[in-house]
Amino acid sequence: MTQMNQAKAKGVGIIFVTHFLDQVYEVCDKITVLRDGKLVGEYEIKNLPRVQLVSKMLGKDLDDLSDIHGESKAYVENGKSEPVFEAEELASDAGIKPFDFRIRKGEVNGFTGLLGSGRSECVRAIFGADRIIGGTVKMNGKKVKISKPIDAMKHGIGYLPEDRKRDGIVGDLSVRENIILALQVTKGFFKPFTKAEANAFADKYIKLLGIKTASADTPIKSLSGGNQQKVILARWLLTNPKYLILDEPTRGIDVGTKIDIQKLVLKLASEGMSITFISSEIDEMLRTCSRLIVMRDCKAVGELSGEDLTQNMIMNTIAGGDEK
Amino acid sequence: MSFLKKISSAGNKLRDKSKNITDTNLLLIITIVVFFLMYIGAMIFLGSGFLKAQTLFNILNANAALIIISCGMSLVMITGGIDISMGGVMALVSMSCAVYLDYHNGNVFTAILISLAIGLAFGLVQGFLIAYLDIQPFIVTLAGMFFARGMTTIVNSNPFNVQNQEFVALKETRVIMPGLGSINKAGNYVDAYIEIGVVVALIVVAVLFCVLKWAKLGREFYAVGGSNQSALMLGVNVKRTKFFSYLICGLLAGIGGFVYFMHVGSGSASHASGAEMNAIASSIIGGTMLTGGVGNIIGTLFGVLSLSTIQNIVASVGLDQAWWTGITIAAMLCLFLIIQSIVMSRKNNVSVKAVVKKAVRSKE
Amino acid sequence: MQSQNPLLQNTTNFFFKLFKRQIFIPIAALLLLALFNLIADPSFFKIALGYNSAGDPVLSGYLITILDYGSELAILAIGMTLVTAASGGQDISVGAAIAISGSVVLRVLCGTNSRPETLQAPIIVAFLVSCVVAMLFGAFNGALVSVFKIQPMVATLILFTAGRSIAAWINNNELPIVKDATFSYFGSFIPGIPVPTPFFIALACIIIIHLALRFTNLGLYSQSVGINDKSSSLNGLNPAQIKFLTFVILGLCVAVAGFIKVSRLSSINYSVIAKDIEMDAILAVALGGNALSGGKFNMSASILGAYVIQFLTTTLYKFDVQSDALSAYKAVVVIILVILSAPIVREKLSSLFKALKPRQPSKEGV
Repeated sequence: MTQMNQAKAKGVGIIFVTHFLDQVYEVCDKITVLRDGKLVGEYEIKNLPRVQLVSKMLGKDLDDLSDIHGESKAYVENGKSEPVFEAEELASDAGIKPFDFRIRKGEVNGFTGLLGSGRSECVRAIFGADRIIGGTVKMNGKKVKISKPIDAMKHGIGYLPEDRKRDGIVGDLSVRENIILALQVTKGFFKPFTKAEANAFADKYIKLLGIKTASADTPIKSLSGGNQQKVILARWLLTNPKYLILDEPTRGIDVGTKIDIQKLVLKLASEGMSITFISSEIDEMLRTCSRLIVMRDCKAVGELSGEDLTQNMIMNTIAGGDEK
Repeated sequence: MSFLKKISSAGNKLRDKSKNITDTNLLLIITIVVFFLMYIGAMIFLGSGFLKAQTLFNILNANAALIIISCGMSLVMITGGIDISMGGVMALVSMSCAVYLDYHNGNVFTAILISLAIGLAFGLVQGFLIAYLDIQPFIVTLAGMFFARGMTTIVNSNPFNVQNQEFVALKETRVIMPGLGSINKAGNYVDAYIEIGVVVALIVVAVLFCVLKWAKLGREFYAVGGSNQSALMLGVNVKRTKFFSYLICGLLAGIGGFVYFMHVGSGSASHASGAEMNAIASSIIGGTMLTGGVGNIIGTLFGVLSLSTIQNIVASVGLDQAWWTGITIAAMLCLFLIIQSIVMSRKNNVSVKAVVKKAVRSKE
Repeated sequence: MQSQNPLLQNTTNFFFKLFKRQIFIPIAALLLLALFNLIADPSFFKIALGYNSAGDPVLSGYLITILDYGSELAILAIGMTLVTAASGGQDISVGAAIAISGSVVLRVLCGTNSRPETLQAPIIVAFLVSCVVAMLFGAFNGALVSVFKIQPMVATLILFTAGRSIAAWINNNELPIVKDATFSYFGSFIPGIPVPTPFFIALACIIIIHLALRFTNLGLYSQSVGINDKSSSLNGLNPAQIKFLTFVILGLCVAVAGFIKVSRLSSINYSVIAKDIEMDAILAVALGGNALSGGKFNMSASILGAYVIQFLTTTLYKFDVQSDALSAYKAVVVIILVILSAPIVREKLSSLFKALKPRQPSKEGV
């Protein structure tokens, strides 16, 4: 920061791209906000309070979506009190502060915050995708060790990654192979699915999720973004997880598919699946989640549920109370 | 500024300097230290031969060509590529010059031109295929190596010594190093000497060192090797820079080939066998990273010297030279590759501070 | 007129389908070479049944040579394909590793005496020991690549440099000769069977690898890891383990190929044995249409590619090309192949193709 201020004093113009609000308010004079590939506007920092900046960054969804809660009922607990998944002081080497987390059966919770706030890092720690350096994890009350993805998978956790191109799809493999991959790995090296089984799985989910593809043999890289996302979703649904983590499942997808995915989340929750839903679009989270954890600068700064689940409360929590 | 502030800012600067010790410098220091340890160790424990200055000069004489091609190899490695055709090109150059000088009554000057032409031709074609058609360097240069070796046999199937007077005179030229001579077995004082090839090699090292350190093209090589994407963002013409690295490497292969030819005085299909592997080993030992972006010509020079010193040590200890050198070189290579891998994983973020500092300074 | 069209349509459809499949590439190369030989000298294809010095029937002829030497290459191609697929790089130490493996076989069979009258150990034991040693060296390469994340070509450079020295050291620089007749069967002919034995060994290996690919997830995992190892780890795979495994498998292939090679001569020449075979193995994988940068692979295409490379080598030998010059021709073939498979060139060619594509025949008839 001091370097940049020094450079500024010498007359160097700087274009600073960041997600960290504190840094923006420390160094910048003007800010240009972009969202979904379009320019939102240019503002003077001194005239733009934090909450307003956050609201411009997150924006409101263009669609006039009605309340989709009406379609499915919330999961009714039948007396079990142990949370499906519980983490205490979980820390990974990805830079988040140790955090606690629990989720019950049939619950949909969300992690919200700006890009870079540590949401993905939290769920990656839950899934064992980053190196775990501390903390304990329990499934259904029993202590378990999750240090790599296969451990999480064997305990019934699934994870749809944020960057589907880099971490999600295996480009040259077919749609079918992408769908069966995760389940196949849990079954083991010496137990490959027969052609018939693999075909059955692929056909089932192509139909169920409405995946548009020339055939189950098409390489996944030639599908559109939305359909690729459906394939990854199919992959994890096939493993019949107890707890499914969806990181930005609706990013870069057409509106119709966005709604489909949100409806699906609610349906699965009503059938008893625990789901973590991460999205930059607050509207989506408000529609699907019953509890939201707010992240800022790699730290959990708040948990909202019930009446507090409003746009204003969320944005206030993200922006933070004290302004400089 | 107050006195206290001056002290603390000086202290900060020192701490920053040692923190910012780049990968290149760290590896270079390791190389030089290892070399001196080896040589001094040899001088202490194996005495006699190693105490003569001529031994060091002989190492230079025998490896002038290797020094030259290792420089080319380092250059290409800095940009993130590799060139395993150099040995083959050297053999082809030797044979072609030999045939030209003896069978076509050529003169030395034209022979030099032929060497440069052959080297440039290989550099041109390989550079084009790698930089502009985006084909993997390993495959292209592997094919280049096999093509060169095959062509050597096609040019002339039998090895032979060159008789051409002009050439032999050049070959025999000695540059005397005054005052460093020694007494030979017959009790006569013999001057220490180096061959012309060594002079050429040292010039090449100096020129390349200057280019890499101070010329814009030199910085571009490092940038491209560090990250193609970042280099592109910095305005570097990545393709052209890569192409130049292979072109220069080819040219150096040609020069190295002629220097080698001057040293051995003959043409043969088995010349410079394994030279490219020695060049790679020397570069790696000298601190050039395979992944690119890191490397130093001085280090490469010491890498060659280290390699030869091992060969000499192995010979004087009495071990069966041909087989044991292979193993020891491989062991050194293995060791240095592992060191590089550790250094890489320890430092994988470039400090923003360094980048901003540089940008500000260059504006003044 | 119209009744001819369906037949023509069907045949052209068949060829277009074949054309799209990966295995078409080595088939096309094979046909080209066969055509070339047919035109140049049809006697290339002659196979003769004769008798060797022991009085057993043996087949001979250029085609038999191709089957014989090509089999060694095919076995290597199996391992090289897996390594290429999972790690995106090639193993250039296979020649040196064959020298080591062969040396171990001879060492076990001859003991400390380099010209023993009888075998010092059963042949099967010698083979198994060489397998273990070769797999250990494969593990060494695998560790460098998977644990230390060194590029495969560079990691294997180490064994390439040191391998033959190690091989010589195993036998104290001597050249042991095995006098046992049974030992030589593996590299030449089993009495009574006119087809060279290496072919049967290769056949066994081919069957084994196809079974492995069918009954385990070796294929799926190798491809997945080679295409995208970040995604693969998020699906529960361990890319380092898979890459390591492929190198060990290549080690096993090296042991088999090495065994055949020393059996041919019943001896060894450390600097000559399997010289430049790595080039051929890599070529075989490339000729099989497999991307040298890793990912999807077709094992059958690689194996066929190995025999095609041998076809090329034998053809060149027939035309009296010296073995040293051979490499120049192969190099040209490699370059052409690699240029044709480069993405930039493919794009240009496919857009050229589209411009020249003949229009579909209209359904209204002639």
